[in-house]
Amino acid sequence: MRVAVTGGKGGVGKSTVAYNLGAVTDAVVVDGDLGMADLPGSAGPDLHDVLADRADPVEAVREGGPVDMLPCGRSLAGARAANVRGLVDAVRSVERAYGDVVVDCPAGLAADAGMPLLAADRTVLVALPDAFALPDALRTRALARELDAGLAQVVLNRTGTNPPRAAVERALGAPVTTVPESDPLARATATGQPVTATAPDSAAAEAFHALAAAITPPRRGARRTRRGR
Amino acid sequence: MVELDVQTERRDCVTFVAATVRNDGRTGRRVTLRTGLDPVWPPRRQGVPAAGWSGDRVTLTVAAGRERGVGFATPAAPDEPVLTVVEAVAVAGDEECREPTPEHVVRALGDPTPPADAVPVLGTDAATTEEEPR
Repeated sequence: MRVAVTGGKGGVGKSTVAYNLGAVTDAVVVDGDLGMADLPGSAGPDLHDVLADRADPVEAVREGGPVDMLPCGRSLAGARAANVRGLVDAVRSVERAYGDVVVDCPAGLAADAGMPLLAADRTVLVALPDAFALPDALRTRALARELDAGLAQVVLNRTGTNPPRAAVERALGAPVTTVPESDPLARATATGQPVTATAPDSAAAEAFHALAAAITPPRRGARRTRRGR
Repeated sequence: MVELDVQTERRDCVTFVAATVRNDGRTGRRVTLRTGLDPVWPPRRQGVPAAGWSGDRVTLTVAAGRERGVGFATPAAPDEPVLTVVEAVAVAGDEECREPTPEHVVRALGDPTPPADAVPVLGTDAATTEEEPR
């Protein structure tokens, strides 16, 4: 499974959703935000180096943290040296070696946001309930469909008491998972931990388990096999 | 050669059919699927049935070693054969190339690489890009 976590808009919580979804599905999270990486990083080769042909994608995966990560560099020089065309092959290499991959997409709709959709086989679209940017979401959905990464689930993030679940489901034609506004989640994110580790019984942790179950329906006829590891 | 995996879900008197077509062969194949369910509500783009749909049939090209998804909805209960492979003919190499490639994505959406001017060059003009001393 190769999931792109996208949203069109910035600041809706794509990285938080990608990181926690990676924790729940035991996937490698690829920080695909080439210009503004914000997932936890560390020293060593990163996605910029991979896309500049200076490092092997599988060797750039960091194990040992709470979530296996392929982090992204934060320098403009690194972003300039990176060739986004290589992302598709890099994601496939990581999938072959590790199994499931979750790609955190950048905001916007330039090629750096489109390439993860080409690399993925399904898309999770993150939106906020009060600032629901429908045109952005529709454009992202159309692009995901063209690139064969159909919209599997919409995440309404930071919802209050009465999320507009039905309206969003109708507008986007995809099932909705709501992630409630949550102190445990905010605390976990601030310390670079998945909420499923710090507060496994919280509503937010339950929401990410529900999201993982929704995008990986039990398949008839074909069994998924995990390779590598 | 071509493996079809079909799932159905019935919700609010509508059957949603989701299928993947996997091509394990060494050449791309143009696969035609047929459904016994009637009527068929195919996916639509701008109000018209998506490319490949015609009545109770849908045709799609699956590159060698790849899989593609297809789906539709119907008010009918999923009793009839939901989807069957009618035909899977090998296609020539250039027809496979219509699949989007990274190059297509960059051409359609624009190269996101920051311009050279935006990248500070160490040593030479670093002073002009750094903040003024306080």
